[in-house]
Amino acid sequence: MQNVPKIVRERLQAAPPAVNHPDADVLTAFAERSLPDLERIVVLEHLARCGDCRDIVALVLPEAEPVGVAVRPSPSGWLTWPALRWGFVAAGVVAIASVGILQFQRSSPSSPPAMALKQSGPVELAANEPKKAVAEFVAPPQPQKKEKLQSPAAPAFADSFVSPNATGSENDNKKAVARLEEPQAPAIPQVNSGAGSFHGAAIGGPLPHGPRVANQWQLQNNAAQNQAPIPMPPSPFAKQQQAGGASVNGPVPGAPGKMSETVEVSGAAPVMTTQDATLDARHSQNLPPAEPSSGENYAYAVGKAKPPVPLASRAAGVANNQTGQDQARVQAAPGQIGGFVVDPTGAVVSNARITITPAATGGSATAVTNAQGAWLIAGLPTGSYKAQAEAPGFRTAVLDFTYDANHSSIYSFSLSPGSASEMVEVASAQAPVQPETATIGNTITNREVSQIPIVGRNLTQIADLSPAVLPRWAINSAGGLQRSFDRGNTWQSVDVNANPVPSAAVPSLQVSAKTTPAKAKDADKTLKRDAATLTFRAISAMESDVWAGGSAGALYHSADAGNHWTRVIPASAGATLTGDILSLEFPDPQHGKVSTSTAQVWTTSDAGQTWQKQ
Amino acid sequence: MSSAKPNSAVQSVVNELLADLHAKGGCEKIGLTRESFAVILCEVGSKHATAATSETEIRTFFLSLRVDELALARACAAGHDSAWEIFLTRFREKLYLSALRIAREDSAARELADTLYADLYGTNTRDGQRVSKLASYTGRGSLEGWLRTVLSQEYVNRYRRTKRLVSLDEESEEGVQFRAPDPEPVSCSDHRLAQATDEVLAVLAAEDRLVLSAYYLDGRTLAEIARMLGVHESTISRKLDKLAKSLRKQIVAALARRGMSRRQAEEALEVDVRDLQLDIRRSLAQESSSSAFSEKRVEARVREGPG
Repeated sequence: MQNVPKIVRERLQAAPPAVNHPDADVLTAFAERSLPDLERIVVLEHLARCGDCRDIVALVLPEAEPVGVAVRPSPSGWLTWPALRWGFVAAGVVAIASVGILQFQRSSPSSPPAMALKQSGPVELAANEPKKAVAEFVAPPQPQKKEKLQSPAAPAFADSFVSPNATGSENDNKKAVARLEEPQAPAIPQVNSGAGSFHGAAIGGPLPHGPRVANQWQLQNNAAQNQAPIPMPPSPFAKQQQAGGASVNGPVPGAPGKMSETVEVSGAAPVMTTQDATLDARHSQNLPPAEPSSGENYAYAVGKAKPPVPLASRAAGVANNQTGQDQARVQAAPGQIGGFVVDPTGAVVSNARITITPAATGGSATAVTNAQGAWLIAGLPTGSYKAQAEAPGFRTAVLDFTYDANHSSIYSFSLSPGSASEMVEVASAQAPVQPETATIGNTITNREVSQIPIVGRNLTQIADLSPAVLPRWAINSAGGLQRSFDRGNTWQSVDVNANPVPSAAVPSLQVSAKTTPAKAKDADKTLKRDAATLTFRAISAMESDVWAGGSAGALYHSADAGNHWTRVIPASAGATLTGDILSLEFPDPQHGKVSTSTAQVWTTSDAGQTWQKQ
Repeated sequence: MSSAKPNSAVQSVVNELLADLHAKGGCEKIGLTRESFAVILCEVGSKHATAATSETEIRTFFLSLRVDELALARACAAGHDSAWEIFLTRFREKLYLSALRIAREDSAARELADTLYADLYGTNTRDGQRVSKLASYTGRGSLEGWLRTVLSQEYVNRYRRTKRLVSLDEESEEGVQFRAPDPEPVSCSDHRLAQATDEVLAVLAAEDRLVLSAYYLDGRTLAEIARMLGVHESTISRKLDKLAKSLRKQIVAALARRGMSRRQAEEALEVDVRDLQLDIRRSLAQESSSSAFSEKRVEARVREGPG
């Protein structure tokens, strides 16, 4: 900074001092900037000349007053950076969460697979190819040829065409499994009411590659229920199925007629099917359902040289091409319910049995988890259900849910170990209140001693755990006795003479048996004299049995944790204990050893009633 | 103030605002009746108002007063116990802290605060009446600020009084006992310079001169001056820079008007003997080192000679 010429300072200094100092009031107002402009200028004028007033103003100024203009806080609180910063954080969290949810949703409908309808056997699951229609065409020379057709955009609607021919005896050379996917249709497992139950093994045997699908619909044909069709839940596609080989060997008679059929799931499942009428015209006319709109492919399963099989029969073809080392994902398409069963550690539970029971009627569908712990059930109509997951060695988990057939649903069970019938009771015992006595105590049982996990099995540690307790003892610097009921946090001083045990009550404790009455009087006097100048040197506490010894042979005993005290004067054969007591050892209430500054050692073996001098 | 007009104007404004101000000041609680408060307001108002003050100005003035603190202070001055109670709970600690900040030392601060308490309570009597210093508070600034100001005044006064009383021991310790008296200020060779400077300073704005004085005479820091004037430090810094330049220019111009040539004027400003900074030590050191060097060289030559 440029300096002013010296002459300026000189002349400033030489300026005549101002008179008529402004009032303290006005100076205050100036310093607080509450003066009107006119007066302010007057004061400024004065201050320019008056060093004293400048000093005063400088002293009056508050210490660290923020300078007005420069550091005025921004007026809008919500648009400042600190507020915005949290906004950004929140927005980030929301963005991440939504991406995560989208990812999850994208992957979850992507695998119709995990659901296996048993009738088509353990087929492969196209785990990561969501809307894939799998047509399996097994020609005689190449019994396991597989063909995949993709239809990327439609929710899976898995139908399997099962040729009745494929069942049983013909399975070695004739097998046609078709999966058709049709958009927006709840999967309704419909099974050709052929003969008997379909089992994958019966059809083609386990396919050589890929894990076998463990979810199995046990579909049984129930001839009786054929006669009592139950209306389907609304389905865009009325399905017709025909029993026997008719559907395979020739086009299904397409006339929308009363073709009813029944699928029984797990023996007691709700009856799933039977449609009358409303068969899609196209289907009914056996037109090839190939409407390759938007990349959607319909697959036809053709058995041998047979014409395309119309939508006469459906079966769920489930395949899982994922090799076992991958974590399987349950990907339920609309119309399917799936999920995982895990144990509390997160490990999958295979062979857990999932039973889904509709709330309304009693039939149930079951599935068994595969090696990846996944299960899938298809074909349930919209409604309320109760799902129950059970596995050997685990407790049964029950879940109530409402299922919408137009959406995929994933329910995972976490089973906790233990058999279903096991009940763990937790009870705590409280220390009983003892109204008849004011002392507080606690008995440590054998069981506690053996079971409380304490390093070293130190009994005093257990004693510390007692709800109400034996005090800790200490001697303060002045030789006063102190006890603490809260493990040493607070200490209270104890006056041994405050609550003497009435001598009538415990005469035996008062003095040694051999003390003469005169001596007893003496002792009383000493007691009174000592009361003022009592200093303790040693203390021994064993449970509620407390011994304290100090100056001039002062030895006190309390059998109730220090509430009442008895002066004990060890005497034996005319000699009494003299000198200051330096140490006390009472390993148990009966036996004790007292050593004094005069090198005497006194012992007792009957709780201080008689003493021996050594 | 003595004229009748402001008094009547003040009176009318006070009558107009009395109820309002009386309620605002919480006078009931501290035992100030409306009448006594009116007297106080009239006194304050007439102290402020001049003959030229309009009624509107007086009204603004009254409304800008800190009525509650004014009432409290005057109630204390009048000796109302409840007022003193409130005053002590509110200001006792603050008063001491302010004293500590001013005196920067505990015992001095206690003494300062206690002296002020005595004044506030009114130990000195005039005409048999206790006069409390609080009676001079008019509510223009905050009561706390006023207390600080009064403390500062007391401190400055005391400092003035005791500054010259320095014990001989202290003087000898500081080594100033036998100090030569300050040299007579060298009289200006040319009176014209002083006149020109005075002329320039006289037309300086009050704030500018305040800044100059505070910075160059009192040795205040930029931050202190900035707080005094309620502006930012950098503003003061810029202002000082600008002032130094313009002062120089104006003084030169003023000298020119007094018949000096520009060069003479510049010289008069620059070549002030006191502005010359001669580093005598350096010149001395140079001399000695050169001589030492030459001596060494001689020695070297001497050594070289026989070798």
